[in-house]
Amino acid sequence: MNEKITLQDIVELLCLKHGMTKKNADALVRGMFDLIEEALSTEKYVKIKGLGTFKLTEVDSRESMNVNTGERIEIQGHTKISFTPDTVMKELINKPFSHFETVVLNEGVLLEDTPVVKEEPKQEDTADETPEVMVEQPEVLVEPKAETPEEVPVVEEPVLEVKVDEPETIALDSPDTVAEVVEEEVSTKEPVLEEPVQQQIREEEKVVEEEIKQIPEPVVATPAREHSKTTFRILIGIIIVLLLIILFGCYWMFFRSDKATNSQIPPAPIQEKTIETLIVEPAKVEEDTLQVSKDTLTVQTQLEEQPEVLSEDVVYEITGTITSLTLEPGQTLVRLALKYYGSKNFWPYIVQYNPDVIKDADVVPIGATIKIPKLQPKK
Amino acid sequence: MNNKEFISELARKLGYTNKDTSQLVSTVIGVMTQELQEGKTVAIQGFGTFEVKKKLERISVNPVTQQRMLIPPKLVLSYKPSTNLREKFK
Repeated sequence: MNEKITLQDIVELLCLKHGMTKKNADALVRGMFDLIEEALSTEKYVKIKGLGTFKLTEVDSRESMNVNTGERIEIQGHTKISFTPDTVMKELINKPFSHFETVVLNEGVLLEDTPVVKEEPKQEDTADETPEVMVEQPEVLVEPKAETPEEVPVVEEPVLEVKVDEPETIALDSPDTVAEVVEEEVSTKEPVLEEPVQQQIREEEKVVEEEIKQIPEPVVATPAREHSKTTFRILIGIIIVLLLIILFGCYWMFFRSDKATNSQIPPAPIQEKTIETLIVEPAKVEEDTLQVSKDTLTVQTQLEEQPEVLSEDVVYEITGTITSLTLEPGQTLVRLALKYYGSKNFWPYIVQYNPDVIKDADVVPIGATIKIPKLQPKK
Repeated sequence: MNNKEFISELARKLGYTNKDTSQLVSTVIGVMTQELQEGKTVAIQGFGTFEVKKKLERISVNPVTQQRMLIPPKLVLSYKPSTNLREKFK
């Protein structure tokens, strides 16, 4: 990739292309660069069409520090050569990336570590995962209760422990994590837990009642959880779950505000984030082509079709093949979509139409034969 | 010195017509561009190196409106003068 081309190589290419003698070509290229050098020394400014501008710029003297000794040294003012490429040249060089556009970011999009917009789906994942980790505490606490009906004498101790611990952990956990806890737990577990525990509680002290309060609510969430479990990978599912979490978060916030004041802080940013992702995603999916990890990409491609259809207001259906072509270096699916449909958003149709060729929409091999589908609005 | 002056000066030195010279110069630049587009480095001894560099995407903030923009990645041509040349103009 990073091969070096020297003056001699240019001369040779010139001979081939222009039918020049080697001597003449050599004289020409050398003459060119010598003249640039010469002109710079006399005029401080050389402009060459198609290449760019060479300029001499003055650099003021400045103070600096010797890194090794810590001594102060003065760097003398000098002139340096600066080069600005011609617009034509600039565009030619940037051609592979020319279809990228500057995108205005909405407020509240949090991208501390990486400036890539793509991060957002991942954030959703982490939003799901972090609570899971936290969940473990309550889960462990719950399990001894489940055992209680079987071994009554032994049970009493763990239950007591539970009573002591749980209120604290609940207070610490953010409201939505608590809601999440409930969701993460297998639905079958819940009913089993609930009944025996309630029996126990009636027999025992009132402190347990706090736990009961907690358990009924989870039960509400479980059907939704069961439902989303199957379609967990699909964003819609994720969004529904997240919305549920937010709802629960709000619910818990109102009921728990007196007990856990500091726990109210987390839900707000999360809510913001999810809303942001909803807004931002359809607009920015093109960016994904850049650095998408493979698994998220598959999700993305599925997603893409929905926002794209929405934005176009029409659902399209593939009715035939316009043409088939061989992918050349520098060509991308997005560019093909732009060329054939006038919009970048249509690339998933090409992916969809070429399942055997395009295994990974990120990496389409050069030379692959791609069929361009003919699209017609679905009635 | 602008492009016109450069071409006529070069034509005078090499003994070609202005038209030929301008054509030849654009061919040379064309060859260079082609090589650069392939990601190769063009090193001219005694003059310097032309290299294509990739600038990563970044977020820039408009200081007036506080609007945040995602600037896409781009490829730029950079030129690094040879040490000889740098010393000469110092």
